[in-house]
Amino acid sequence: MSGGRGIRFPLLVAGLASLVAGLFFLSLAVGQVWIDPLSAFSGGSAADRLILAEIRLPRALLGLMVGAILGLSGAVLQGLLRNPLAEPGLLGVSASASLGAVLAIHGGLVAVHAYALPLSALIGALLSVLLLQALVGRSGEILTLILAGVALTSLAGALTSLVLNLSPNPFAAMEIVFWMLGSLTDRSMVHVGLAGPFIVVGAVLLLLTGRALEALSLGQEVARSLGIRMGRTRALAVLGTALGVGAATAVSGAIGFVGLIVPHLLRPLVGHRPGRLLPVSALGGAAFLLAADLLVRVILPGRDLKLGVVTAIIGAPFFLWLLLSLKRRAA
Amino acid sequence: MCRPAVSLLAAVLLALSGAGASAGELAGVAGTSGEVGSPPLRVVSMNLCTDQLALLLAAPGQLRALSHLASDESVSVLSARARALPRNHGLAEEILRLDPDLVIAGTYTTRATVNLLRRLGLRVAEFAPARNFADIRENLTRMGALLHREAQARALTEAFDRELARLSADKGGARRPVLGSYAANSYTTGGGTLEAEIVTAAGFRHLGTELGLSGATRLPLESLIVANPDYVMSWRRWTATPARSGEILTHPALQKWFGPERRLWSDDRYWICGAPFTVEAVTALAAAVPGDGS
Amino acid sequence: MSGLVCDRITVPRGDRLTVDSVSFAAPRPQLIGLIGPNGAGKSTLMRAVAGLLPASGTAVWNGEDLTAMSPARRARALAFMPQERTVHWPLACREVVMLARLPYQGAFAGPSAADRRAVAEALAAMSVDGFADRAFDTLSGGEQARVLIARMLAQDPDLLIADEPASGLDPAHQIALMQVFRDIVAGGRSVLVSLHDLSLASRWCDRLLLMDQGRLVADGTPEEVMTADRMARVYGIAVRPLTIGGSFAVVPEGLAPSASAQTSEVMPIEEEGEGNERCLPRIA
Repeated sequence: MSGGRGIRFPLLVAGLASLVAGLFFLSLAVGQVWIDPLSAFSGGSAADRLILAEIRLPRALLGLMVGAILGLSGAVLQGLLRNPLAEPGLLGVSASASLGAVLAIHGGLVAVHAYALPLSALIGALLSVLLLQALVGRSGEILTLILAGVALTSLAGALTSLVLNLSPNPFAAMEIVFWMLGSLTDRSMVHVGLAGPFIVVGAVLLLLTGRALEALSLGQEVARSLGIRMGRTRALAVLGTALGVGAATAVSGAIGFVGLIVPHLLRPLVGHRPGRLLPVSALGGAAFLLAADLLVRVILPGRDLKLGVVTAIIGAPFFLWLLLSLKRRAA
Repeated sequence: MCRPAVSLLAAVLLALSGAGASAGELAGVAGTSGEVGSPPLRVVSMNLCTDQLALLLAAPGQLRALSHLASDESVSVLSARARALPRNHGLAEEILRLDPDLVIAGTYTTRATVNLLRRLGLRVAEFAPARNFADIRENLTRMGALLHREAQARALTEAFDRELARLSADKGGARRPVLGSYAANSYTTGGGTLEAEIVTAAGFRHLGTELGLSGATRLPLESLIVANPDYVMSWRRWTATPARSGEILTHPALQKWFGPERRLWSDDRYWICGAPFTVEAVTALAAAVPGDGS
Repeated sequence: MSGLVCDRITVPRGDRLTVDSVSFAAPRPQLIGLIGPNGAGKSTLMRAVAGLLPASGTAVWNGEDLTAMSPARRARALAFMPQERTVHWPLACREVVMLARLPYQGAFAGPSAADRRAVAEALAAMSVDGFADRAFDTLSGGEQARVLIARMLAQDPDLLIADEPASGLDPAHQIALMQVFRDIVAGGRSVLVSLHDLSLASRWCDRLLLMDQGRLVADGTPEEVMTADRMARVYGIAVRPLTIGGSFAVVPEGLAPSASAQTSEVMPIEEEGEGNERCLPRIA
């Protein structure tokens, strides 16, 4: 039925899933030293087992979940706004979530309850999405949207720096880089537990928009005449993004461009169908981030190269190219 | 409450890493002109470490102002004494207004300010952070000369050496355990640093030195576990304040691998600057481990 | 009561009424043409009937108020095709038409055999099955229009509401389209369609609704509605009524004598598009 346009959907899903599985395995194996995850648990040293279970497993799990939610939310935002440039990083959602997380940590909320961290990041993300919606309205006009995202990113970034600079802790200033560029280095199962549930719920909400996004290909009016409730769709997208991206950012910092690149690369493979794009973007996002995180470890081991550096080095030129191709098409 | 955390951070990192070689050369050149003539009477110090050296050596009334960090009890050993003096924030304007006849600065911080002050004709002496005990003695001697307090400097140097000698005499010939430092953001310190010298003087082998690291450098947690030092030492001060940077010190893998009996906690203030009180850091660290080479 | 009965449908916009208390009853399946000059309120009326705009009054379809129906139920009862022919992604035409089957599919279910059949029939009815697998954005304007009409057909509703479906089609496809609508009506369903082409409207529709400045000014058979006098007053044009093969048709001949004075009273255009349906750049 896919009729020559795109690969068969189940095949694509299976292919991406095995790619993710392979990268996940590599993510466990690659580090300061190579550890074979299969043999480590039967005959490896105690140190190997601990490193696998407490350092590399949480890192790989977070790479998987954070990448998946970033790819997925990018695909949903693009479908909702019918704009291939929409992405949580570019729109300032990630930066706002970072601000929320930083406020929770340095405002002492985290000391009260650990879940204050993802919740506060979630609120930051939610406010940014609502603000974007208020600014851009329903037109989803491309220029306004991107500019609003730029403004929001700078503002949230500046406020994050302010909070960290005001901190009495001298090491806080070093965190600015983390919150703006993101990293999965030396995270623990605690972080998986903090972010995991929110990311899973967020992903479910986002996946529920699939049908509506398909219908939205024909514009809002036809979508509504096809029985799509736009209010519900918007609420699902906003809440899902806030929950997922908020929690992901709370533990990994703001990682940009994943939600931009991944849906764009995969779109032709699903015949440009915005609903089908969702599950594959989640898988693709996971694969992309796991690969980027592996790259970080291989290129400059021990230097804690930030993940966002890698995704931006790949993503920013890609973004420019995308802008150019959009301009050519509009001309 | 707003403290310019960045400059403090620089001071901390610098102390941990021991700065660069070029900084030391600069200090030597800068100091040559100050030792003769009448003693300076309006001395302003702009750096936490020079603040403390000056406080230990200066005659009453000789100091006009210290950096604001000197009176910060979380980083300064001599905060109580420093509080009696006015503070500066390392800005050229406020330094000029104090009309100093000698400005003492660190080689690493406020470069632009130092250059400006020199251009405006002020006498500025720069001190490189101490990277070892010899540097401490040298800085003490030089500070004594600058302030015309040579006798005081000599007395402090002798006391410092006496204490060190006593501590090294305490150590038996037993196996020396390995100690690695682990700070916020997964930082550890390499060899050739003040930290390495303190750790060695306290009767340990220094992990950063044995791993061939240099300066302040990131050590991934898994590398620390693989290196498996007998003790992991962290600084106490900033672990209580919530920050993402400090989370690494409570990472489950770190906690599981190094039980509480293998974690040591030191007082940051004695480690930031190389000074006569550095010997306190050695004493405290040596006393932190029960028994001897067990 | 079966069929479509609209009662005092009113749509305010600002301090004006774009649709002012429009009532009509179409108890039997009919091909209803909605005509009127630009800005008469045709698009707004159709959106109001389709439940896409907040409006007062009622639009009752087979005894049920369309404006109060759940979106899911209404999606099976009526299909709507706006004037803008936008598809935001370069979807294959078959996929565009398949979107019409969403109201019949479960949350994560794929298309059923019935869905595929309906899509194939709709593609064939609009003669677009030849390029069913081509990307929508590679088609000409007329081809795109036919694919979107096929989309509406595949939704398999009892009531079709289409805004200017014939514009941009060549004469052969215009006639084919009207023939498709006639077949639908013959099958017991109703079609409400706005048309700018008066000949087409007069030749094919069972019934015409003539709107001017938000009001329904005439309602009846083409012959009853399209009097020379009324056409001159509302459109500012002179028409020639004809009888072709036994059925009525009009041909516009020229501007009515006082045309310029007439058109200046017509409200400014505001029916085209909703403003919230901007066409975004699409990428392949």
